[in-house]
Amino acid sequence: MEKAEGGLSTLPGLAGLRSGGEDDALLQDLRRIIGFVSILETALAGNDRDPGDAGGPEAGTGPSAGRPAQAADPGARLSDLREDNPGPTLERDRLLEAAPETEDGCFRTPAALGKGGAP
Amino acid sequence: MTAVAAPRTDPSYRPFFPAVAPVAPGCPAPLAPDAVALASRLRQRDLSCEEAVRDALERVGRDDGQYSCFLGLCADRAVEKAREADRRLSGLAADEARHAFPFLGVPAAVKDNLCLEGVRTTCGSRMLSSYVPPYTATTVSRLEALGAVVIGKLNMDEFAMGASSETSFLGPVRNPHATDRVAGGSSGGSAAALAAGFVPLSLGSDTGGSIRQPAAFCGVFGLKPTYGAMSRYGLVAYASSLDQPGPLARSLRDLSVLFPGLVGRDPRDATSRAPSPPPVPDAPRAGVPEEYLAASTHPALRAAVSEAVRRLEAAGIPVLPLSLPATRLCVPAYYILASAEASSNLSRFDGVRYGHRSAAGETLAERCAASRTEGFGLEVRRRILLGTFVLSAGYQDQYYGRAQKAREAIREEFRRAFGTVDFLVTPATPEPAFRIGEKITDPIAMYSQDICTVGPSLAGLPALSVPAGHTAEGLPVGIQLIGPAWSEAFLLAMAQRLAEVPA
Repeated sequence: MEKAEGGLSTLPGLAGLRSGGEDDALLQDLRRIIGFVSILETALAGNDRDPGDAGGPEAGTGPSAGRPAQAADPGARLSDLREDNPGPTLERDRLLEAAPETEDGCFRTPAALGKGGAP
Repeated sequence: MTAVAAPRTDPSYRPFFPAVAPVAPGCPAPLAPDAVALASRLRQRDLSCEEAVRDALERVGRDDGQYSCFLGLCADRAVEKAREADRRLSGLAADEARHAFPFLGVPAAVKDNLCLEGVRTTCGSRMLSSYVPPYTATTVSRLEALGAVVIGKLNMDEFAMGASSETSFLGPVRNPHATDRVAGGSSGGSAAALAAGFVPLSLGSDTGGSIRQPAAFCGVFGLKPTYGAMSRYGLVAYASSLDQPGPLARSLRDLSVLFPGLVGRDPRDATSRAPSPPPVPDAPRAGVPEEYLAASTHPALRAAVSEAVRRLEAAGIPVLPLSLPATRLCVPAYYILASAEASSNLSRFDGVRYGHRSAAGETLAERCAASRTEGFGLEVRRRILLGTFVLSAGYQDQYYGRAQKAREAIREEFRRAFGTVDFLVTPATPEPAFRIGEKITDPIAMYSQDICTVGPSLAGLPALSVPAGHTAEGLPVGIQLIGPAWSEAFLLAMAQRLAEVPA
């Protein structure tokens, strides 16, 4: 959040908006909103368990449901998610096989307007 | 069950689970209780389609000043369509008409973010105040293919960003049950037009609860379909991975007839899919997630869920308590993801490609920035700034990446829940309709209104908002039924079961 402070003043320019009289109020709102959504930072801290094991077999339902069981803590459960690992892409030919229509090795999509487009 | 849901002792709560929701007290009685009944009258030639459409237009002209449900009417087009419907009806046997065009001649209205060729589509924004689309949204075409006649475009939060329909450039929608209260949002006009008795059917769109919450506030039914069920072609995009058009109606049977006619694959929307409903369970079981009850700050909402549980059990449907702990992450994850997508989707509105063009600015960049700043309202600019922030270098992993992970965890939690129960029962909102102006200056308070509805949106699941009674002041309260993907028909059947149990 502290790190974010420095970047906020440049946002209107990045967003294609003009700086103006409402900026202070908008940025103040934005600080509050960023604080509000930062709950995800704490909930997602750590990455040391298998994602398929999130919360254990009783998570969500059953006898343990209805009381705040440790295994059901969202922070603990979300820690179970793995980091993103880059992998090989799908083969182009296989992707094209799944396309409803193709043209010159690309997906063919219907025109939005004009000939072949909306009536 | 009573350990989870508070017993029905809240004195402010008046239970009422209708199969056909009445119009708000004080509003003139409609020509028929619901669209199916009106279509039947039209087929019997009790009155003509043109008379039905003119009646709707007159009601709006006479009474909508109180509510501001409509942003515009397309009266000439509607009357012409009604005459076409009359001509078509005269050439069909009643049974033929019922099967081919179940809503032939029935007046309907659509949210102003759904394009209708030749009819102004503003999204409740100054930015699009003069935009006339050259094509019609697939969902609207399908509604018209069922015979319905669109009479106008409905008020909404600007670009569907809001939970009260107060951010509309053209002023807030007022709730027909209490005009000092909001109608909910962003499809506030779509819900209020039903409650006021202007039309029996409407279309809205739901990104994080924009059909379900206004339906609950106005005492009508609202269905957020499975993501991909209804085409987004012609729906002005807010957050494309979450946006989903959907129907609102005053009766369950209207939704049961309407919904199948609106769904299906559309080659113009790559995310649309053919329906694949799961098998209907022989002995359905319901679940009540405690986190949704805890999020309800008004006792009438907890009491409404408790009454729903009583009715389900009386109907022989067991109800289990369960826990969805990631619920507390839903609103933050939603606002990060939706705002990120909005900042991208709304970049096209720059006064050059689309939208309001400012006279200010010396250079192209200055002119675009001035157009966007003048054209967008405060809430839209707030979300564009938030979206720009969470996608900006250095913060993308911290916010957007984590929100995506949270979304996956939320999906997984629902998937596990549906391994044990067949549907979930929750309050549709944390509280009944609040006063106009009460939350509009506090974005966190407004965003927190979405706590009961954003979970199914993030998971792409269908959810049905069902009228469930009133507070002592007469404000409607609603419950929500959530099911696995493509379980819309099953959810409608469960709502029917709720309505059939004696009070």
